[in-house]
Amino acid sequence: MLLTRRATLRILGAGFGVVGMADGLRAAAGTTPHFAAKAKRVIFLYLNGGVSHVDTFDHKPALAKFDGQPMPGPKIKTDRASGGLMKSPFEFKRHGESGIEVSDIFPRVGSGIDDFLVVRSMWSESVNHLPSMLMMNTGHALRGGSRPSFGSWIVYGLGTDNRNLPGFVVLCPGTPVGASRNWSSSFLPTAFQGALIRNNAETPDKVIQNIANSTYTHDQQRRQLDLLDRLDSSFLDRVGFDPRLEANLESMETAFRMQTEAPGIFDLAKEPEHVRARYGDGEFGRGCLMALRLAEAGVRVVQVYYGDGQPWDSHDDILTQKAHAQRSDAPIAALVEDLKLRGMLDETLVIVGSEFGRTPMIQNSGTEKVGRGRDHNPPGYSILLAGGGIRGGQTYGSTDDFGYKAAENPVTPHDLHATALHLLGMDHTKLTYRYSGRDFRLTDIHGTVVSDWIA
Amino acid sequence: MTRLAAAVLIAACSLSGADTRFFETKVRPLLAAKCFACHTQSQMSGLRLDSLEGVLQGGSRGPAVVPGDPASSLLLTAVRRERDDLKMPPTEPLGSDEIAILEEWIAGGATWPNADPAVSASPKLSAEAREFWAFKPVQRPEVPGGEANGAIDAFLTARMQDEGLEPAPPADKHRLIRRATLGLLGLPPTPEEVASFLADKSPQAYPRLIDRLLESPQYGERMARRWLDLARYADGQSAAYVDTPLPNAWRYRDWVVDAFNRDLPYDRFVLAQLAADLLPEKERETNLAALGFHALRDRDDDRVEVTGRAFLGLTIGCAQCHDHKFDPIPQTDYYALQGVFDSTEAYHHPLAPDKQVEEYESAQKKVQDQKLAIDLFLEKERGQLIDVLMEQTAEFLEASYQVVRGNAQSSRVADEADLDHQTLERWIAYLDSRPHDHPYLDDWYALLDRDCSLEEVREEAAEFEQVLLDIHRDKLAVDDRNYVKLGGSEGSRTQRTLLNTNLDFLEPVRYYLWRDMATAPRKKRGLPFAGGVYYYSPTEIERFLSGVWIRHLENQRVELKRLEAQVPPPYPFVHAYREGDDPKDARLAIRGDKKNLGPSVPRRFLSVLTRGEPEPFANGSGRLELARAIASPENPLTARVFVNRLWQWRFGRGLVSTASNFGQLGERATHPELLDWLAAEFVESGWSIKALDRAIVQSDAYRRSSKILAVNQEVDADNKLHWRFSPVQRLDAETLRDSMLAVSGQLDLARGGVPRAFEEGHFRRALYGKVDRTNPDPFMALFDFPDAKSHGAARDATVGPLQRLYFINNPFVMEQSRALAQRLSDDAGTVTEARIGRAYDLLFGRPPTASEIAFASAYLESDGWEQYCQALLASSEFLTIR
Repeated sequence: MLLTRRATLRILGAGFGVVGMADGLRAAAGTTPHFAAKAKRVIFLYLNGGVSHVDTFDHKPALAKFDGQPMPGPKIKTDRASGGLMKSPFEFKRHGESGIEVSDIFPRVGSGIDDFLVVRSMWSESVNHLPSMLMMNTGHALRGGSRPSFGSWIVYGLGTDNRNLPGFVVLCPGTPVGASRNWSSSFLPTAFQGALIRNNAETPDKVIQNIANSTYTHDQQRRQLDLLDRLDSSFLDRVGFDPRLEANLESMETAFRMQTEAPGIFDLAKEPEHVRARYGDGEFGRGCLMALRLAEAGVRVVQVYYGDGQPWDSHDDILTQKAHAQRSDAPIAALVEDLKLRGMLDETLVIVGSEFGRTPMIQNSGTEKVGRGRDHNPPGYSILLAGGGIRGGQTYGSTDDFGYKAAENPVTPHDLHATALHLLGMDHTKLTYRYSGRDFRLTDIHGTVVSDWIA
Repeated sequence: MTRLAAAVLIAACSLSGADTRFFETKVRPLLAAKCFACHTQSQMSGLRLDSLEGVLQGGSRGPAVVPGDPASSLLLTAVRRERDDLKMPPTEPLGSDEIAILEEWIAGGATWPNADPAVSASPKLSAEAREFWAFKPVQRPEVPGGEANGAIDAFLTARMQDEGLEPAPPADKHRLIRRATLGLLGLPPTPEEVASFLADKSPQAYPRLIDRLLESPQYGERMARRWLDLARYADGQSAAYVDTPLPNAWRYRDWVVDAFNRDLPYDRFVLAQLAADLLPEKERETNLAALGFHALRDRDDDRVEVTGRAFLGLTIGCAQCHDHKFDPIPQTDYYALQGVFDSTEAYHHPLAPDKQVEEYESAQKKVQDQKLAIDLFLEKERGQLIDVLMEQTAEFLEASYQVVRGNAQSSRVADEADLDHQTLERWIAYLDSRPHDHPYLDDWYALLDRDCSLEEVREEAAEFEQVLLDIHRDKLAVDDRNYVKLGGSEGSRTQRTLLNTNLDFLEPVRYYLWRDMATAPRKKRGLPFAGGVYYYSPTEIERFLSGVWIRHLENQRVELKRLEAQVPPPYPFVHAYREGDDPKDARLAIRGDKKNLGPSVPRRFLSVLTRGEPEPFANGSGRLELARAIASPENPLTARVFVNRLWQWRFGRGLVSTASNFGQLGERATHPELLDWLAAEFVESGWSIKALDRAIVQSDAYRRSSKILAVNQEVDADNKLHWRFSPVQRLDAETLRDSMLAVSGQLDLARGGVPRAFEEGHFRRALYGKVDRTNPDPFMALFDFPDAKSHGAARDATVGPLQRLYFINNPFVMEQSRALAQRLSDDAGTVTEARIGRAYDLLFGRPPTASEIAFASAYLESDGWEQYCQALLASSEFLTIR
């Protein structure tokens, strides 16, 4: 069957257009959910470095009771040398109707806690940042290699609602560990990879590469595009009908529209002052507000990294978690509030999390000097979920008495991925892509949809 | 016979299929998940639970299992937590269902199969499995109608006739030269080359063109880039933030270029990349760089996978965790090959005499030692300076009071009190930067908040100084204790030791005060620290030094310079590998779980590609034997896979469209007989790539027009049967860049050598740009350059607005547009039509039509040549091969 020009344009659905080899065509064509979706899009706020669950969302009174004493049971082999249990320096308080306990370093998330599901029984295997981040972001802790990211799979499955913007946008003011591997499309067509935008860039025109022309005016460029259209039409006349070439022509117009429209979406000055003020003027706050605007504009997946490197990695001093919480509490709360105010929370799944938690034991080793830190803790940690069909105002699962290991209802990043895809209307066992002789999935051979999370 | 041995025998003899299945599906996974962490290599309490011997032997408390007798088996006592001193696993009790499994297993005689039948060392492959087309020997087929008129077209035409397809007419000559030049060299033809080809009316014109292209040094460059995709070539190793450089990776890249240019027979090409170090001496030295194929990747677990896919078109990697689900590749085959690579070690092979290597290394060491001496000296001085400044704390506080309260000039106050100016400035700034993380200055601030006398200020300052000195003394004592714990200066500098040692610390608030006085600034982790009041970096410290000290430092630095000048340039080396000291078989990882190891598998070749039982490799790691088994004319896959790749490179799709997967899940060949004929011909020609290439590009199929014929479109829209030349939609990243530079006249055709990132502003071929695994070049990534972390079997050719934005806004394109505009005026003078004609010659290899001249002239009335040239570079005609 001949592809008509219209049909070709329809499969440009991946955002930033995919008209490529057969794979790209097949992939972009798969834009129908498997069943009715609750969520349309995902915003993933990534607090890179490792949030200390026992100092934030998983209160463990036993740590105060046994402060300084060794954790019962056999000596746990942590990544770095550690000592006895350490009580949290922060106070916990019950919030909202749900009465969920949150520490006082997250006061605003605390007051909005009835919108959140607090998952306290996440666990993962690898003790290092890179593999754990890749597990959280790609479902595979592959050292050195790469797998398609969570966001890439979603855009591969669902396409995007705005062809003038990428379907998957990554906001990061620097580079997290693993860099582009965290948002790579790997063996999926490249059109599905996350478009990295450095949200510490000074001006909106710096956020998308090649989005602005330094030399020519809008009118000059318009005339240049008209010329290009004539060149291409003339070429098309010479070679005869070719659907791919037609799509190519169309993508030029899209590019031009993008150039006009995209910078506006990244321009936070377009939000009223009272909205901006609630996010603060930190990088993460700006990232969260940008995520809101991108979600409004129809971007399917937005991931916001808290900062460059691994800021939450509090090996030496747990008090640094407080400093980072001060920079993220208001933006997280404001984003969820604004999604609600704008009627988008129901269809936007918000995930707040990191690659692992931190040990209940003190870390008394290392190159820095406070000696009141916590080491990496993959066996048990917490994440927050909100919106997009999530049942808020509840907790799910628990860790043991000290917060070391997921005890009741343990869940993995695979389960998170499976549930997120489910909320988006996709069966994680059916969202597959054939590569190197087999069908790959985001969840590999794992993953269970956690129905208790779903409203 | 000991009791133990007898018990092993009994347990092993009582094996039934059901027992084995029960053990493998229930017992072993349970032990692996809950017990192996402590009871395998680490042998806690002397107990190993990963073999029958271990279980029967038991640990310090006696046998863990008594077959047939659950009540006497300590393993069960432990998991039932019946005794206070023996509860296992320690943190997480087993569920009752899990305990029941162990009970049933022991009661049934504690069956422990020696090897999982699914992973037996010598798998029997069914005859049927061997019947799959790809594993059958290549048979040279009869050519329909004889070979006289070109075998390739004979096969293709026969199929087309069967399907009632009509071949498209031959392509125009100007299109043909553009297609062949872009295809074989990755560059557009020059207008002169086009003109001379058009002028040559003899039937030999095209063969002559192809001969010229095959002999061009750019041919090897183009071919090499294709091959490097398969070899996941890069100039650095991926890491957390930036690549770890592989400074000599380019020697492998240049070796590949050279191999294609000198038409190194493909079997030698394969042998060299897998085992150059094991070849006879005269071949060894010149080909050692070929080992970069695997040596440039630090993961040791993708070598089997990449070897399989690149050379054999087999997805052996699928058999890492279990037998291949679709192809006759048992899991043992994976580990038989893994053992070969495990018995191989990477190393830097110097391309210089030993003496030069030694000289370099020893000169480097002297430089390092000297740097260390200077660092230690400055560190000591830095410590002493802090001691001195700490003692002046009360004076600094008082002086800052005078500056702030008395509105005095800080430099004057500092002079009068004989204090360091900068340090006083820092104190003033510090006191102004509340709140602090410690309470020690609270009294000071409280005092200043009320009217107070100078006497009181002095008193408070003195008190604070005492507190600070006290903390400082404690800190030094803590540091001393830690120095001992860490095992002296060596350990104090080793990250590993630092992380594995429980250290002493000051109480946090005391530390915060000390930090605010004495530690270095830091930027990381989003919480910047400006640096302690008394902290001066090694370079800042110098202004506090005088007399003998400064002279000593100067002398040390002169010496360092002298030593640095004596370091010879780094000696060249090759990233190579060699046989390990002790070749050994790999153990099979059950379900891919490296903690749950099964039997070792002898190193040997793939079962399905061996007649009968594969013999274990006899020499060293077996790598040379492996390479020979691949590069063998008897191997049914090697030649087929390569001829198919070349077909893919020329036509955009292989006869087998899944070029790196010839297995069950791969596509079947559209023309199996043609594939076999090409493979047979390839081997018979002595594995000559150029001869094969010549045959392919001289076929009528390659020379057909790309025109879509409506009658054919209904039957074969995908053009699988080659009734037309299917355009590769868009030029690949490197051809695109090279072509822009070629037409703008900026291309630098220098060959080989050290790679440089594009951002350094060079105009060499893209092949010579730096390939970065951690931070890929954004231009290359935008145009679908593959991820250099894994084998790239085929390129995508996506077309989208982001790529268009690149053409309309990117500074590189604008720069090339300017250069092109300049070139047009240089070449064609001032007449508009002449310049437009030159542009069409350069970019498209054809003259413009009247209408094209007309709309261009109209455009040029309002806009400039640079903008016109930019539109040409962005045009579909320039970006596609037709």
